[in-house]
Amino acid sequence: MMDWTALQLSFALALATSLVLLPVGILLARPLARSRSRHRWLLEAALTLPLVLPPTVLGYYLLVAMGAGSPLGAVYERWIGHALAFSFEGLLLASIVFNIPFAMIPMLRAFEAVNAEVLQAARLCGMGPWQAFLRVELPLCWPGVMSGMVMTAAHTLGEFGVVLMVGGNIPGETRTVAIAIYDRVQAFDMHGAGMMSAFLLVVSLLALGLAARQGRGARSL
Amino acid sequence: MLTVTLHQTRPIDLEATLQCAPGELVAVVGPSGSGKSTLLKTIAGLLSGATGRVRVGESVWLDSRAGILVPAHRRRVGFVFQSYALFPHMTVLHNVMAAAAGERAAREAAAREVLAAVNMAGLEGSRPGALSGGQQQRVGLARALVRKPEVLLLDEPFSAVDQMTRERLYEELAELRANLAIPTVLVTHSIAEAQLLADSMVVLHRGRTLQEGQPEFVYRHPVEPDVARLMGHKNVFEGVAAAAHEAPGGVIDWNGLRLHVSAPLRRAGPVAFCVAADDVRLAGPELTDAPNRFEAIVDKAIPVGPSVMVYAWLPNRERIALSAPKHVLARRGVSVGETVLLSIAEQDIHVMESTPARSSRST
Repeated sequence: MMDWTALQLSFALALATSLVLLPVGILLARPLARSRSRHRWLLEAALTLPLVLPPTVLGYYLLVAMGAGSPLGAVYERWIGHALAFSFEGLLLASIVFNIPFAMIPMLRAFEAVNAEVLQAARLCGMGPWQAFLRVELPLCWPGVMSGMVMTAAHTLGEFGVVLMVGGNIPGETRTVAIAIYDRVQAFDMHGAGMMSAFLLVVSLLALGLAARQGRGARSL
Repeated sequence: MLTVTLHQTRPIDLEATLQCAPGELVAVVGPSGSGKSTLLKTIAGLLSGATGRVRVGESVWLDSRAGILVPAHRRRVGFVFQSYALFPHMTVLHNVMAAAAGERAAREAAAREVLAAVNMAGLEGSRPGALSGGQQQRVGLARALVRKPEVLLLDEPFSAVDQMTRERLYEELAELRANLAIPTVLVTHSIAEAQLLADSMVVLHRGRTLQEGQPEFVYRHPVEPDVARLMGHKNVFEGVAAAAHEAPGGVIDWNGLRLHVSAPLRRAGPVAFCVAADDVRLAGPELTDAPNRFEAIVDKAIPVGPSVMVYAWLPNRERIALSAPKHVLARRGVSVGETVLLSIAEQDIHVMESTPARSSRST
């Protein structure tokens, strides 16, 4: 059987992560793309780290950072009233962190690809920094930005290791569809696992197809 | 009137002055990396590393002493980029409208008018990607003009288009200029372009303005060897001026050859001089008493259009270039390895007094 609660949770998580990473990704990618600093590679490497780190390693550090023993976890618990770890909010925070490279890299490449003279031309057309950003730079980067969003959403739907480490497996709170599939298999419900797997496969394929189309749009500009 | 005085040490050296009257076109020429684009972009306010002053008429755009630095988007500059730099996601019309001021209808009318003026009527709905290089540059020019700029700055606008388009654009620019009562600064690495289009030129080398003046004058009277070489002079040499009492002109000891010059030499000592290649003549045996006659051995003869550029070794181990029409060389029977007699008129030798310290840095 399809675990609709888990699916709903996964989609909510994917949507929330993407929406948060839209401004965060732009805020990280744009200055990085314009940076001429010698230490740029260091920052780029740090932000790309979640891409290569085993999810359990990342999950472990996030869990430690969110635990009641950490400053973040303690403050959160005092203010909100429940622990950050093993909650939806904790899961969202983890999801944002491990998705930074997926959102940021396509945006970074898009911002890097914008001809610097086109932006200078915008200024010389009388556009202030904000106007130049909104009317020229962002539209030119939009395919890359969208591609980052789609990658983030698709990746969030499929993430397993970090979710298990940080969120555990609480139905309706932290049990995502990927965890639910694992659960079904453990319970020898191969039919249910198969249905959800097929669903995730189709959604991922569609998302990647959409991202590729956006990317092609970017190149044709 | 545009007056510019700029000083900068980073990221590249800049020590430049420039003046351009309304209706005048000043060409800034220099080799790649000489700071031409930096100069232009600093005037436009796109680069802010320099100190000094930039004034256009009554507006002061930069005055580092008074703490004035007007941001680029508040300077009324028309800027045309080498790479066109059109907005690829907008149509031609919207590209031009983006730079116009006022209500939407007024902006559209102004954009259509200026597009027609640069012969782009009918292509308003196209995207820049669908246009040829020449068409894109016309849109770039329209976008620069629609802003009703106080100065027009052209950054190598013709170097990315093919030769035929370039010549058409030259004519169109010359036509447009007749109706433009603003200072125009053209950055180019092409001396020919400067000579063709500019009223005045500024020679920039390693960020320093070396000379200002009318193109023809600068070509004939370069102030120093770097300028002479930049202007395309092949015969730039150094010698030692003899004591100045040999009136009316002077004598230069050119590695052992005595060279008579008609210009008075101000002081004795090291001196640089140049001779245009077409001022070096093949001498006949008849003028035996004329000064500055030398035997030379032809090293190379390279046909260049209707002329031939001949390089010949002089007895003082200097290699001199001379340019002569093909038929003249054929009649004289000049060929590689032969000895020829060359003459240089005294008045054709241009002596550059302000040398040797600078010339030693030249490449």
